[in-house]
Amino acid sequence: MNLGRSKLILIFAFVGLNLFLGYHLFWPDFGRLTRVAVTMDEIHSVELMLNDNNYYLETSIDRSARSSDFLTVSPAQGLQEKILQDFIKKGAQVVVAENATVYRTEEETAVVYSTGLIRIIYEPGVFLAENTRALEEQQLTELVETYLVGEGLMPQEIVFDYLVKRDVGFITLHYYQVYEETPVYSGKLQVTVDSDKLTAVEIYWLEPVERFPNREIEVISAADALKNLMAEIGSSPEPKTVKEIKLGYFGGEYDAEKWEIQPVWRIVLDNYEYYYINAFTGNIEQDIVIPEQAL
Amino acid sequence: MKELLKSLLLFMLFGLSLVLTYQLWYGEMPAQKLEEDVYEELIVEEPRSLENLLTPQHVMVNSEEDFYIFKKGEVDYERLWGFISGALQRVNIETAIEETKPPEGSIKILAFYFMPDLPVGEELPWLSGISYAEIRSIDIYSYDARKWLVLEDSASNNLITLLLPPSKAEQLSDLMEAVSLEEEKRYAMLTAEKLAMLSAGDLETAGPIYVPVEPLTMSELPLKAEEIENEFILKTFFVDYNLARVIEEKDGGLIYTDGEKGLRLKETGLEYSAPHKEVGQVTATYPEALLNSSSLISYHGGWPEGLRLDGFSLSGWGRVAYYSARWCMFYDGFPIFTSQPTKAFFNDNGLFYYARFVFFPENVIIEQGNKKDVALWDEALAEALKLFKEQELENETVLSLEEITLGYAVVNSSGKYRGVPVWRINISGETFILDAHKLVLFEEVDLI
Repeated sequence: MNLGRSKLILIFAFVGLNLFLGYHLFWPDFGRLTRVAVTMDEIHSVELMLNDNNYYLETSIDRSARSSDFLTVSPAQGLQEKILQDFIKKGAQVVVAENATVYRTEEETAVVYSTGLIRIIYEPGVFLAENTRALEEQQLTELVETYLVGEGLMPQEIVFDYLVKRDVGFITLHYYQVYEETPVYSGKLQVTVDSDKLTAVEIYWLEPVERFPNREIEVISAADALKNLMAEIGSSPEPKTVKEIKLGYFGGEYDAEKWEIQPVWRIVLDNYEYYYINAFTGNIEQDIVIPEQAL
Repeated sequence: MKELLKSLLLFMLFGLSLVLTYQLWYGEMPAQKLEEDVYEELIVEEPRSLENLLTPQHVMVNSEEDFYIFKKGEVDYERLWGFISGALQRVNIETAIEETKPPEGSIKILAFYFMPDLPVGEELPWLSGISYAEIRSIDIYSYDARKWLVLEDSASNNLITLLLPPSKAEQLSDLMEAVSLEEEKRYAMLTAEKLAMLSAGDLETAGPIYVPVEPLTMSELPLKAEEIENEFILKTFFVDYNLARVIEEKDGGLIYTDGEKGLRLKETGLEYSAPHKEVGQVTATYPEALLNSSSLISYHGGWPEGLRLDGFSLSGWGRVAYYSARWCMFYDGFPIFTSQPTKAFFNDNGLFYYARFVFFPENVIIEQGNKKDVALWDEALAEALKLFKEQELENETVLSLEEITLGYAVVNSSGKYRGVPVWRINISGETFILDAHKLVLFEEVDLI
């Protein structure tokens, strides 16, 4: 191969490379896919700020410019009805209270709250395995999920989140809902395992009603979410790690027809410390403000 | 030559690729965080001036043994208050102020009662030549051709006496002569003697209360809830309401919240709260706070005709201090009571609670035959006392009659809002709303 031919090949290669780079930099729509909202300098400065406050980053920061909208949800009637139908088939007694309805069989009690929350208590419990505390996380989740699937209590759009081994002996497994590959942290399933038995299941499941793509706007960056969190919670007396920072939806539980939940950056610290940063406003998410005269 | 051009082109492409890579890797991209045109200009109502937001609750004309009450909107009320307000704004304090009370034998011919108090003093429209005072009432006394204004300061209970110049006194005499009392209903001031007939001396009035001597005739009033333009009102509370999420309540109400403040829109009105602003102080003076309240209601929905400021107070404890303002709609001089009044709580942090429930009379065509005499005040008060005692609310030896007012209570029947004539009676802090014709108690749930 002569030098002239090599130069020609390199020219074509660099033309291609430059077109690719220019395309991602300047093309308005496609560029968004890889557009950076966080520069490397910003990542370094956020890391420094975290370290100054005794926090240490153990996860990567999403650098892309992301956009999102509100998601309208309502309590998932279908799942609730299915669960309760099963209770009725088992001959459950039904007691209607002010804010909840209780379905009781000999070994199971389901309490359905007006917000849509369902709490099922098993007495004396469903046997899973001897000494569940000694099991690996994966073994335990498999056992639990097999039971839940068999009982029709395991929705499909669900992701295992974390597991907590409480000091007093029981273990709780936490799952969250997913909608179109985006976490919906408000929709959740929590399972309690006490020694060798599954003793309780709590389900709060949401039905996505609609999205508003025309209201989609760019959210704050993951780095800004971390900065806002630091500004709010301040420095930690003991070292803490930031284990995850992920974009999803989050909102409260309401006794309402339907409601919107907002995009949030969920920041997970160690010891299951969770913070939800509103991805539009940058504020730490708290309960919504229902207008009422407080004074 | 050809090779040289190739080398040059290659060198340029290499350089460009470095620049673009750097730009993509480190470059600060313009982040279109939010829509930029969210700070949209809103055209809202002009706030009212002090002269327009504070007027007497009622004007009492004393003619011989009888009292006559004139309420806002009536011609004589407007004439009399317009004259006195003007006189207070222009009076020469140095020549008018008197150290002594009106002479013995002078007759009280006129009185103006304020709720909330009328602020007077420096930098205020009224009596700018005297030191600051908050006036609860103005009594006008006459002796020969002279007329005195006696103003009662609510804070100190001190009296400020002013002698009207002769020309003004004459003008007032002319105005008084022009007041037509023939078709007016007579009122009486509740005295211990009158109350003793009902309560064996264990009931006192908290202030001067006037009641009609003869039965008044009233009929139900067709009402319409104020129509709130949701989008406009949202813009007055949220800089960008697209960032507020919506909760649709089971009763059809809508809640908008951004996590810091919430706004509930209902068919009959709205309610707003911003709890994080509750803990705060107030540095605004009473007149400044009055103007603030005017700005708030004008901005958040407007101040329609007929809606009057009828309560204003400063409250606080610990690190919490706030002003509360309350408004009420009036028709033909009678208040229209709703279960939740229109009110605003605010401090130096701003507005932290606001409720707005306004009903307007609609297509009022009242046939004379539909009007019926309402129960007399003493029958209504006797019923309220009976209820008070039945509810075992009595815990004081002497009860205080704080209010006995005729008005309309808003109810909903067959999907239509109506104002039902009622007596509203407050005994030692307990309020009873009684149907003015049947004297049946209205429960709070019956009211809108």
